[in-house]
Amino acid sequence: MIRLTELTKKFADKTAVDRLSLEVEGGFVCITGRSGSGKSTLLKMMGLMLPPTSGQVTFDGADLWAAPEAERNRARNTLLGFVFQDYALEPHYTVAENVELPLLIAGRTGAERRARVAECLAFVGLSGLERQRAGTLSGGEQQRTAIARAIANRPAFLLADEPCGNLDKENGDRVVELFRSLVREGTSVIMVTHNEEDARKTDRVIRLLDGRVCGDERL
Amino acid sequence: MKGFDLWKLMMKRALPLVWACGIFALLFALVFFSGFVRRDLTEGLYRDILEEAEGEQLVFSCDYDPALAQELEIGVYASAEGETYNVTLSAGGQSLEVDRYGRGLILCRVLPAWQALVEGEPPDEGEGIWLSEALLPAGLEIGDEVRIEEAGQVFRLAGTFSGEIRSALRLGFSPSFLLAEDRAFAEASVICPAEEVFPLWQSALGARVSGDDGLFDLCEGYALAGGWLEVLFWLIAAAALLVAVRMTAFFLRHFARQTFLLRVFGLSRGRLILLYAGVLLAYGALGFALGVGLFYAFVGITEALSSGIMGMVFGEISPLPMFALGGAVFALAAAGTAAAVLSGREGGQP
Repeated sequence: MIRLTELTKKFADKTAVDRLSLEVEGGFVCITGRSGSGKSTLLKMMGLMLPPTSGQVTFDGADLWAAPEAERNRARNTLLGFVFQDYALEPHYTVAENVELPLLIAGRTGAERRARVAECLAFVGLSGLERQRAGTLSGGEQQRTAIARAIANRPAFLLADEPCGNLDKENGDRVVELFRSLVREGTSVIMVTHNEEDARKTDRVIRLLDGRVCGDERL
Repeated sequence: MKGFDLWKLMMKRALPLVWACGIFALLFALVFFSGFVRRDLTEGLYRDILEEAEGEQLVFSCDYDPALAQELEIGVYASAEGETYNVTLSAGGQSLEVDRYGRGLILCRVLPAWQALVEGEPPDEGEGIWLSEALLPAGLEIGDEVRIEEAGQVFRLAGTFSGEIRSALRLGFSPSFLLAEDRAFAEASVICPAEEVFPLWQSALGARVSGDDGLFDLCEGYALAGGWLEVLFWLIAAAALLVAVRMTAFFLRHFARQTFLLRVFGLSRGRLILLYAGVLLAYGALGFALGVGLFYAFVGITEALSSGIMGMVFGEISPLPMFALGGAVFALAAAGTAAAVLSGREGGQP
């Protein structure tokens, strides 16, 4: 479970997230809100990519922002998975090489990596494209590659920041369906989106306004 | 070897960096090599003379060039900038004016240590001097007395040094790389037996050679060729720099993206630094090997075309060792690159 306690993030003269408290037990959770409402900032703090100005982010009781950096590195590698709007793939690498990046960092052996890469690509429906350069894929395929990479180390939480933002409806629906499949397999997915239709496909919609929770709806 | 696997992956797709490093290396190799050649040939021209003349006095005919004299640590004894200076050597009952082109006379003392030449200190009367063969009046022999009339001093001829010019040619005396020394070489040639030097120069530079006037034209032609080659060199250097800047931008973008991904997916800062150090080291080595290979291939090709001016650039350097070295370095660079690329495929590709 992720628990956010009085979480605040200030940038110079702007407060992006303002004393926000929240608990995410699991399932498919959506954080939504207008542009500038603080949803991406919140996701980055939850993902241990951006330190909060104050407050706590705890994973099963452990305050990782107060922990040594090594623990956060380990958490980003194995506890969390990330999917970005712009895919954040290495375009010169093959699909397989992109997916194996977290596995390499985790120190998996070659055989383990090969097996897991095949498994992840099969899950997202990209088997057969292992040797293709990521930069040559369609947007939908790139995002599915990014999902495969995000789940390579079997994270407990997958954090997705506007994962369908660059995709057409068909590919966006496919991504959401993949997330739904992951949730069925036990992964918690926290998705930031401003698309109301995508938000309605999740189990819980948390609405932000000016860095604060203004709505929390379970569907 | 989890770090090694990551390193291999990092190495795999940034091959343009090899070219960036290669271009840098080529540029640096050109600069360093030009400096090396200049220094080597300058010293090569005079070292032999000076080593042989160690402890002796040396008379050396040359343009009056304070900067050159200072660079060579040759003391100026009797010369003046802008003056027409006439020195008359007399020996064996004959006289010879050595300064018909406005050149002065540089007289230096050669001390046991090459660095310890004493500027401006005239030799003691009666000591040995060395003269160019070309300046020697007929019949003068080693050990004969030589009188510098204007100075009113008498010396003993200790030796001659025309052979040193040929040594310089054998070393690959180069207009483009020896701009600072062109005058020295030109003037040095004056004191060489002309029939030995002129054909080489005429062939290399296409200068007109006919008697005294021809000699003057030859020197001008030499400086002109050197100037064009210098322009060419700097054009190449500028182009290489532009490409290098472009590649550096690629380098920064590539690693900025890589850093973001690696950190997001949990690589520690320490491992990241080690990883980059390893990558840069490997690419630097590969790039340098590539640059050196390109450079020596260039040397070899120009040597093969030695009938032209570019051949003169590299003088009489034998092409075979250059081709062999260039080929070996190329093979090394290619093997290293291929190894990096192929080994990068290990893992991640079921």
